[in-house]
Amino acid sequence: MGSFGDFIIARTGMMSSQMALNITGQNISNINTVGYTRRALDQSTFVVNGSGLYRSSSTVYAGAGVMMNGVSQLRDPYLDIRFRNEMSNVGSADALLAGMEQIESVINDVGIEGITKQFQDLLDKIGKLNANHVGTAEFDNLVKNSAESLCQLFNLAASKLQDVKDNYETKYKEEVGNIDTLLQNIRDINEQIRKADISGDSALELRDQRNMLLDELSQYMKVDITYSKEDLGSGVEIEKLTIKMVDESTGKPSYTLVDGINSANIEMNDDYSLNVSALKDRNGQIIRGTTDADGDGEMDPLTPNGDITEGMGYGALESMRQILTGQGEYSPDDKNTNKGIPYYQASLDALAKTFADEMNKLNTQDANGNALDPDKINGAGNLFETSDKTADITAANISISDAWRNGNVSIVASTKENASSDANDNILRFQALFSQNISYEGGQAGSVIYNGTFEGFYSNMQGVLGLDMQTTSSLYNTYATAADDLNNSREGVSGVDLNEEGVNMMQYQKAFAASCRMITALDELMEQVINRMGV
Amino acid sequence: MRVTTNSTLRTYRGSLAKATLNQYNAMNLVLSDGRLFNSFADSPARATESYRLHSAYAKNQTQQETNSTMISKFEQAHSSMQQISDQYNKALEQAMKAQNSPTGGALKELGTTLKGVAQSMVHTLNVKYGDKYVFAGADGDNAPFELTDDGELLYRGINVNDISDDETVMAANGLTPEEIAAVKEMLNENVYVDIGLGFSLDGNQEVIPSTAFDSCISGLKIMGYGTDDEGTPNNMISIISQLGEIYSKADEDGNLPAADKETADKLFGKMSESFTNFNTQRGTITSRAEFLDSNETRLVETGDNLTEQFTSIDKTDMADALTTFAYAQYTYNAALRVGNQVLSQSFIDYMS
Repeated sequence: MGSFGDFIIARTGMMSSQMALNITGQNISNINTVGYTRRALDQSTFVVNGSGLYRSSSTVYAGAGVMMNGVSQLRDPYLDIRFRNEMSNVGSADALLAGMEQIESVINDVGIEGITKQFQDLLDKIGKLNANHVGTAEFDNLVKNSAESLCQLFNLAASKLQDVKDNYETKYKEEVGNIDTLLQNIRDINEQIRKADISGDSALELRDQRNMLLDELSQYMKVDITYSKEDLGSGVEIEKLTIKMVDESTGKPSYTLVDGINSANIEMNDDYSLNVSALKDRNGQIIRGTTDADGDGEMDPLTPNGDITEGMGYGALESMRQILTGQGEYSPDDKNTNKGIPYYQASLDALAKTFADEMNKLNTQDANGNALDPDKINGAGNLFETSDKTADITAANISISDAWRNGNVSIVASTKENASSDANDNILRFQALFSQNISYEGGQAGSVIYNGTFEGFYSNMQGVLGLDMQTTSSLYNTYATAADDLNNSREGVSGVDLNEEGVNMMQYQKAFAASCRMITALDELMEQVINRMGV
Repeated sequence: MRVTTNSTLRTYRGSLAKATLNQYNAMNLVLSDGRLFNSFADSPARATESYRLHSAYAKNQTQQETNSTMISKFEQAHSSMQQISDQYNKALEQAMKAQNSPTGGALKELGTTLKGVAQSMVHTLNVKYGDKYVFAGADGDNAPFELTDDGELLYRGINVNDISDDETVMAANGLTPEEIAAVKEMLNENVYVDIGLGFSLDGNQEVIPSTAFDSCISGLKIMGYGTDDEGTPNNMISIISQLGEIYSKADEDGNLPAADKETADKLFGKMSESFTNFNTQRGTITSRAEFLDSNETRLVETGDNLTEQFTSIDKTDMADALTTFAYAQYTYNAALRVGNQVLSQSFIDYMS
């Protein structure tokens, strides 16, 4: 190395220290940038010596300084995978919990005047009618008014539950739209990274952005993310990102969502299930393979596509679908066992219908099941009917009958003809009905969902929801804690620490100063050589 | 493990949020009078248990009201029977005077008085509690007793003297089959109410008598019905009424036909027997009223017990709530202090 080579060595030291300081500055200034990954300067010793025929074996090389190889992001892909897996759990539990909280806002009688209290009030009013007031119009009116309030509470709960479902459906549609947009955004970023890779740019900001989108995607569904090399020819290889949905039933990757610069569309079907399209390019053209299995003259799509069927999905979207479709035990088969809004709607309907049917039965039949003759039995007739005059009583349409309202029907005190004015055998049956255990059937033949009283059934509904919420809530807490721990671990690798950056700042500053001092020393050395030697 | 500035901040932020939430919950616990849950999800087991107790309490309150109504009805009955007792004593006094062969028009006058007493007794027994006639058995909408102009006493439209436990006797007395059926119904009727005796129905959807209280008070049974072997009425009012009718027939010298005198003697002799029957019935009514009284005490105790139980499930006591709040506040303050001291400094603060 020549005399001035040492200056070059010192200069590279100054340059690399300055660059390292720049990176420290970049790290510090981005400490609060969401998704930012800590950067570090990759540097190595610059060696220019070589071996050759005329190389003297006695020549000693100190080296040629330091070389900056590039700037890298400090990231642990394994932690990313673990974090994203955990986030699909968090997303799943979080969405379920959010849905259940909405249902709970309708079906919760704790500490408020709701359906439970109204059942108790109705029984109380029947008790008052029986206590020395048999056949008195005022007390029959009290029973009637109480029953009407109960019907209104049923109507209100049903309408609120329907509102919850409608709002949830709108939210679900938005989220499906969001995930579709998310996939397109990832595809777009892939395209930009690809271009940067080809031109040799590291595109660190784009990768940070993509990682954030992948984190977001992982809450919506469980995904399998792989990075592979794409051969562009002439020995040029660039990175390719592939995202596949994980089939929860098999635990294996299923439909391809993004493959490099191509992505699929996700749409909602009428039954709330999701459809994943074949991969499309940026112009929406389906990417086709080289086979034509169906013989339609058009090559088959390159990747499989279809519906995310029952049991396949997992994550926030699947949880939302379950809230919208979960029929629980009211499902005609054993596939849809999750309890979503339809389960609680069906429960409420079952309670309203059973209550109305049983009350009507007591007011239209004697103990042996024989129909009561309204001409002989005072007040005989249906007490409840549908407000829209349709056949099936539901929580939404239950109403006291017009005949009861206008006084043509009243609580039948006795089913015996020519009974005494205080005969109350049938009122006693009404009273007993509220303590009677009644079986409520599920969707499958012979299945019994609950056996108990009206009040008990409603309490059971709340208990089922409460237990589900409690379980999901503790699951959520477990997942969230695990995700938080993993995020901290990830942060431990990728995050910026001020202490560390401060130390780095001092270290690089000292290194820069040392290189500067080196030049001063060399300058003094050269001064000696040039100006004082031989003088 | 590498701990970064932001992971420290995030962990601190999370912990502070938890401490804030705890303090908020503890505050609500105090403000809501110690209420431990507001939904089934907060505590499914507590909420389910609480529902059962509240439901039982609601039933208990209805039973207490029913019991209280029944007590009032029986107090009314008891008071009326006391009046009947007084009226009987008055009648007895008049009858005894009549037995002592008063002279002049006094006997006739006594007869009129006795008829008046009989009429008063009918009025007393046609007393109402609320909208219902107390002594009407299961037909509370209609006045049970009626004294006809010729001194015959009707109970729900049927002459009490024609009534018997024996159907053939009633037929012989001229009652129609419908009337006989109605009498049989009257003698066996019940009006059950639920006063917390484990109310339940049997397989025929009829109440099991031991699980409910029979609120029916039959004026017929209290005052007696039918006649003895000699044709003398068993019913107190009927006896007094007939006695009054006979004495009313006396001439101005106080003389009665021999046959009437004999009938009057028999009726007079039967008075105390009818009163004994009445007192027996009064004892029954009293014991039923006493049962209602003791049942009320039991129901109130059950209600208090249930209140205590659901209060202990629904709520914590104020001392606990305040202790929880104080602890939450302590944790919150500690979190603030830690944050202030740990987070402000870093290496950069000490760089020269």
